[in-house]
Amino acid sequence: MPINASDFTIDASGNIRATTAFVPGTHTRYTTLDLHAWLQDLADNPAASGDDLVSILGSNPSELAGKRNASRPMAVTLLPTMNIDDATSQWFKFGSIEQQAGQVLYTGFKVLGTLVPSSPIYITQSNNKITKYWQDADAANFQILVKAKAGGALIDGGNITVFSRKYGQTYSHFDVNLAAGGEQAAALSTSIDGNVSLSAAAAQAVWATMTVTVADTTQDLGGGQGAKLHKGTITLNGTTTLADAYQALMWATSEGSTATINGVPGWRYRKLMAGYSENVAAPFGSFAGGKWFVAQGWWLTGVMAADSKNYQLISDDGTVQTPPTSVQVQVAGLAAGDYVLVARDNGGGGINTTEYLVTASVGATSINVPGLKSDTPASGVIRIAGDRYTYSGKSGATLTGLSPAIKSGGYPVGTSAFVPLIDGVASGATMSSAAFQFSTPFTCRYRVRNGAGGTAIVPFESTLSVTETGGSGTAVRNADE
Amino acid sequence: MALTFLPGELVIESDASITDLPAFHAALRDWEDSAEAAIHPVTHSYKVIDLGGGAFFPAVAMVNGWRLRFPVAGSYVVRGNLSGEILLGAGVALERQTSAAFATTVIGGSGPSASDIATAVWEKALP
Repeated sequence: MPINASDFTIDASGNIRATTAFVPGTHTRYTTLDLHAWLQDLADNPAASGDDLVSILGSNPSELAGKRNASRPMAVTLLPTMNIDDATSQWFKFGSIEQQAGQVLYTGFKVLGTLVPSSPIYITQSNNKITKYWQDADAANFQILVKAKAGGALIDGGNITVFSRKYGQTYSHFDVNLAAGGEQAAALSTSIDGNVSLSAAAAQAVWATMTVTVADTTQDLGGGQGAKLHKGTITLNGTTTLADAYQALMWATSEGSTATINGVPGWRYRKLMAGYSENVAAPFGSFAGGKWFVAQGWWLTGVMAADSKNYQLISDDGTVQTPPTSVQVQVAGLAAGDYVLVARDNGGGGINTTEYLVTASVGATSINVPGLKSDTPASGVIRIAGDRYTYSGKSGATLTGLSPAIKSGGYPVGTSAFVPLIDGVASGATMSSAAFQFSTPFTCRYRVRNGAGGTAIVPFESTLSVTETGGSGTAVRNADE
Repeated sequence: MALTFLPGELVIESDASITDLPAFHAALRDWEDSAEAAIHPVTHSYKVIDLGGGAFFPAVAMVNGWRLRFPVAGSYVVRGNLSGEILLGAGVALERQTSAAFATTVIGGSGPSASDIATAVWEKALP
């Protein structure tokens, strides 16, 4: 598009200046090639006239620099004193403009990708937002010039980051280096975030109830992954749903956010630690299927009971931590008086009676069980050398509240022990274990016996699988003739 | 008849002869459904074949490595169809009496008497 000469002036010093400030949506940007063509058109005039003081009597005002290709579609060099200022640069797109013997560089920049129409785009340079000289509607065909060098020095190494973070949409950002000139591209992608239902104001209100702190904390979520280091903590107030917390954090990292996260403005917060992978679409982790996949490094606390399983964490070392799943084992098909035993199968047709090796002193009411599995019920029965003791509590690898107290003589080092899931007499048609935290699937062997006269059954024995939904088996009660 | 169970050795000790197999079976089952025994495999299988006319044929088979032992020296009788290993200690004499047709027991009422059987045979119509 040929340049309208009335849009610019060129004085005797070579200062090319826009006659009016560029107004997005009102004015149309010229390409840098249009500028070069206009200057060359002026340069063949026999004499300067009007307010564009360029003619054949002066030096060549511009030239095309270097080889043109897809990444360097146009690079105009202004000669020797010709120059534009920042305001004038806003009138141009497509390619770069270098001037003042390379001391100043405006590099072309465009956005590629699939964006929600009119997705707002903002650019940070040296950690500050560049004042917009574009409009949201430009997202469909975003092409501008960005100042990359001033005074002979690249601004922030030529780096900029392009963001689109509109609350209610998924987010996107892209790092671009403008040092090479030409036209550089950023790939962005946004979509409507179906997990956002709160207004921005409501999300901001939820944010106000939350605490986000950065400090090392080693925590065990209880899902079997053990204690893991986390670098920060998101604290909820115990009444905030995870869905709302997610929205609050999306607001906190949106373009219009006033929140600060670890000293970083939310609108440019990207991840907790430099070495972590980014969650571009949602800096604190995405929300899908009613579950929050929290970004790496964050520990989450204050979660409502109803949400206790609706999230997962990633520790500092990259371990995915899942909340514990509480399950039970149940045996059905029983009659009152049946003796029911459910314990881990030994893989050889029997019960694993050597699950642990313990020692215990006479009279003790607690016992340390080295290697006690995380999926041990909080109360139940422990068999030590076959002897049956109930326990009422579990703390780490110690079972407490043994009843009866350890028998006379105690148990020497290396005594075999195991923890059945069910070990007792049924009082009805079903019998269930105490709840325990599921860790990994395993197989149980269960036995149902009743030798009482009149109700005796053929001893029943089978196996059942314990999975994340628990385990169940049904006894077959055949009269024992 | 008193039974002592030694699950560590898979041995059942009896202080008396075993002349009532269903009663022996019941005693074993009674122990098997205890807390002590639940962690161990069952001691035996039991089968009864009804021979008709009130006669039946009970059979006990020791399984899972369980064995029977008479620990006190003396003479003992095992009456009925009991299969499995019987450990004979010093001074123990054992007579095994197997029954092909019937057994008598205190378990589940009573078995037929010899007179009952004779009457049943006598009244049986020939084809």
